[in-house]
Amino acid sequence: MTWAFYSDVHANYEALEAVIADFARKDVSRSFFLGDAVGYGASPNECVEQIAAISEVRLLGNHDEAALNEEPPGDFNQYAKTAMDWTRATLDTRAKAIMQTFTIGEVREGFCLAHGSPDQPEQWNYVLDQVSAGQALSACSGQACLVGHTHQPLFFYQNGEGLPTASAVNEFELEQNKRYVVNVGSVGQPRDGDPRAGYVLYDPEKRRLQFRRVAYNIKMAQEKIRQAGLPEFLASRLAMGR
Amino acid sequence: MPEIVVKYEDKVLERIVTEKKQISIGRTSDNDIVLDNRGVSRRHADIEISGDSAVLIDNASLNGTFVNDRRVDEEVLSDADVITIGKYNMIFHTDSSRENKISDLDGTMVLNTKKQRERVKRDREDRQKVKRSGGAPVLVGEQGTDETEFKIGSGVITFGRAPWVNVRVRGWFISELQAKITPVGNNYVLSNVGRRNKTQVNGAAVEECELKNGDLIKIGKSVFRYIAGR
Repeated sequence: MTWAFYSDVHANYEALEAVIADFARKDVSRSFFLGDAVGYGASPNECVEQIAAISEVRLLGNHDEAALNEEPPGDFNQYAKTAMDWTRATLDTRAKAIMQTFTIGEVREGFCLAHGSPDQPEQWNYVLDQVSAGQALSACSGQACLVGHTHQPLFFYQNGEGLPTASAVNEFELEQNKRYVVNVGSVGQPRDGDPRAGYVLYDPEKRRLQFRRVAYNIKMAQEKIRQAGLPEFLASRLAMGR
Repeated sequence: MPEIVVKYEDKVLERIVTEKKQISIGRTSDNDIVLDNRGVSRRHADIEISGDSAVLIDNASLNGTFVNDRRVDEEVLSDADVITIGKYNMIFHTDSSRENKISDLDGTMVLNTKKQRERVKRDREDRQKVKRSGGAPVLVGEQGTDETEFKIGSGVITFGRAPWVNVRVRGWFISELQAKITPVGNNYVLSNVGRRNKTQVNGAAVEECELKNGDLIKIGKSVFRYIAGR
């Protein structure tokens, strides 16, 4: 049995479907969603329903919050803003009701889960470098915290005191004397130059984490974005993983 | 307390452990570190220590001061940085209480004048490349690649055989995505992420490595040289 941690689906149903198929191949018994079900992509309702159907933890991301809010999203770029207007108009009442149950942070099995940094999670701060990783660790009690938000699979480990060290290797074991901040990457809009959908697979017996990448039907996801009349850049970036 | 190991060619001349806040390096005997050679200026450079950080400052010297093979005017020193002035190498350690191993001191290069000239020439070319990239680090294709100069920006750089990677690499059994360079704060981390380890830095296979100026990266049969940014 393995567990899956995934984040930043961003209404990309094709990517989510491919990842769920990979869950089955990898014998995933529990899954934890770390936020941003909607925004950017063209399938918000389908994604929200699917996430709620399979995952025991559903966190609220900044795009999810913006979708439920009436106010204009202040710090969004122009593409995100356009997509957000579209998302608000497209989300049905059922999906909105499901999203109302999304939580801001959880602790499960000793893992601290948040969308941005668990240090003030409602601020949606990015965990991008050693300093922000250190802040994230000081805000949580467990051995590891798992986050999303940056769309970049990456982890930091801290050995005793001092700034954590960054690492991007594909697979590693959680060691007793170290603490970790793991960014699980993005299912629906990876930005690390690899266009394949990303998530983290965890083997609780071996205490091993693996950054998985799954190819999906990018053309179909792009086509839906274009047909929805969303900005072309939101379609083209999927093929570049940027 | 910082420690500086002074070497001439490959011989250790002295180890200096000092509480001074300013350490001067030069040819004349009133310097803290005296390098008695005509290639060295009278007051060639200074190391200024404040708290945990140390900064090396070149005093507009004629032949220049190098840190890890890169000519510098002013440079924040990290542990195990190699400062080169003329034929002297000085290894800077932030803490003198570290375990000293003889092997730490081996392997530093021996300078001769021809090599020194080449080094200055290459350094000048490297500076121009970094200037062209707007101060960002640059990968220079050395062997087995069509890339000549590749700018490393704020995004991840991918290497492999997939059509979507930034830099295609050659060789047998290369994975779709074999390696990547991830910017983390001000540093750049090279990770091997492909199935077999096909990634080497300076001749040694690495799973992960923080890149330093001048590192030779070999992925499959393709070789790149990393030039740090400004």
